[in-house]
Amino acid sequence: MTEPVPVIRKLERALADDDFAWSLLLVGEDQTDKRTTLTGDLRGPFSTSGDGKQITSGFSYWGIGPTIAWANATNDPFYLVMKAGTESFLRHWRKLRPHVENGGFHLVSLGVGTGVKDRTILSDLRRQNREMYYIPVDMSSEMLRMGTLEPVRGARFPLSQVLPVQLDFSIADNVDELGQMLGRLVGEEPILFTLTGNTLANFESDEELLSTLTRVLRPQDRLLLEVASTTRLDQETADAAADEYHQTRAFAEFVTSALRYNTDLKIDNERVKFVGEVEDDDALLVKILWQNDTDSELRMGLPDHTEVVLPIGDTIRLYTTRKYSTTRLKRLTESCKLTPVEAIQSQFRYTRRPNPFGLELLLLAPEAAGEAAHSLADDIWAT
Amino acid sequence: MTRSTWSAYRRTVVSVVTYGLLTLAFILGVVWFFWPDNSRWEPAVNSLTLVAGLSGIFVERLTAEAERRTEVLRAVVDELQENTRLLNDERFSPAAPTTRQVYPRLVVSAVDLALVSGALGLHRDAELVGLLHRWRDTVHLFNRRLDLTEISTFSNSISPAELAGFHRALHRENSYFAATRAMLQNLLRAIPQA
Repeated sequence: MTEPVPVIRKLERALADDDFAWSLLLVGEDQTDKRTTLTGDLRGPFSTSGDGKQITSGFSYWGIGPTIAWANATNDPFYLVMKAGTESFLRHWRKLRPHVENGGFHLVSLGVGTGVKDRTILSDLRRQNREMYYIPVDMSSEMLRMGTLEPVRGARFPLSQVLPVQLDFSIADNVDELGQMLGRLVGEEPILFTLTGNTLANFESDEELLSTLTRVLRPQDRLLLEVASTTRLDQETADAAADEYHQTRAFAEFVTSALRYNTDLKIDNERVKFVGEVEDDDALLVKILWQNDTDSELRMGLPDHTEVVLPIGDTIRLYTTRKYSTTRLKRLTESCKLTPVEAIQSQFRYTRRPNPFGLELLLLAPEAAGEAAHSLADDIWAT
Repeated sequence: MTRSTWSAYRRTVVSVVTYGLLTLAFILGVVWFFWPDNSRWEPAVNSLTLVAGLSGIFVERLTAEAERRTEVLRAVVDELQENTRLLNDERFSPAAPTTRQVYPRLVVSAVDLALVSGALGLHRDAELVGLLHRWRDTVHLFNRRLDLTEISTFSNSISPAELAGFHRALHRENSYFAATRAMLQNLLRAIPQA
């Protein structure tokens, strides 16, 4: 009697010549738990500063509504930061590429986004390693489907080497499990983890997230981190950072979409506040809040069909983002025991006046890799 | 036969010819003194002396050139040995404390002089001249790196870790410091012994 062949082994052949838009997805968590978390977060205490009720990072993209809103925001020509970011990424990546081009790396993309950046990385890495795997990880299955289209259809990356994983990587246990699964999947071969598009800044505790991710980095692995940067730290600049997001209508639609999609709250964009502040003297924090500035309390229906009361002045934090100073990045990487192999920074050039904002792309190695930091001194004394 | 040995050989040949002609003229002069009847002795002695006088000019020029070249090469070797001593200075030592300091600079005045003096032969020393040009560039770039290191390390905001980074970068196996030292040793080996 022959052993039954597991379906997963037959799947590749079964999908090979099928032109129907199948996509494969490895789901790591029970989605009911996620819904419970979201409901719990929206039941937070009263706060006028956005520190009570909130939609935490991954939930901003969770579900088809927010995913479509995100896709619209990225295609909005008035969203200059996104446009400048995509362009600067290409320039920065070209400079970093030599460090990872020849190692035979696999790519694990944390927070898949539009997939444009992954497409660039994949087409370069695959030239040296035809057998490489592309593993996009995101909490939103819709984002995974949309984000993988670009590399698979655009750059013709073989579908049989793509494994999208639906997982909330802000949870330490999930990241540990992901690390173990990846280890079994690729063995000792190195992995390039990417956390691009200033995703790190969206988390309540960026240090905690970075330290969680660092735990799965083996000495041969690398982490590509892209963050928004600032050269000035004062209230005026913080207000300017908040304004930068305020300017785009599509972005406002996106940040409110999670609330629209998961609650019955009627959202007037006038009630969405963009608040900038200096955080710990080394970063700018932008909180995007919905605030009940009406004259009466409001009731909001939650996904579990219960209601929550929103008193006058109460807020729901919709989105968190930051702009990092060099000092903060240094502090973050040092505390997470990460060594910058290369760091490239550039300022936005779309304004007439000098702009303190820009983007920084860092290639980080775990301390155990023994990779020495590439410093000014190394540049001076290089042959 | 190399260009260098050919040059020495040429000088020897011209010297032998000159002194040979003079010796022959002297012997003919002595013979002429004892047997003055033969009237052909006079033009023979005069012609030989005249030719020896002409070739003597070349002997003098070749000897002066050789002496100048020897002097220049000796000065270059002295300078390279001084540079070796400077690179072995305790401030460049891997064991030196990682404190900010002013480093000694390498010197190239003798090399500069050697290149502009014309004492080194166009063909004979072509390879050495090429090496000296490259050494001169290396020293300028090395000294420039020392300037940049001092500017960076003497700034107020430098941390001890960054200071240690400069120390580490200087002593890295593939650093410009190591490349300069290797080039200096190659050059010392390539210079002909004066």
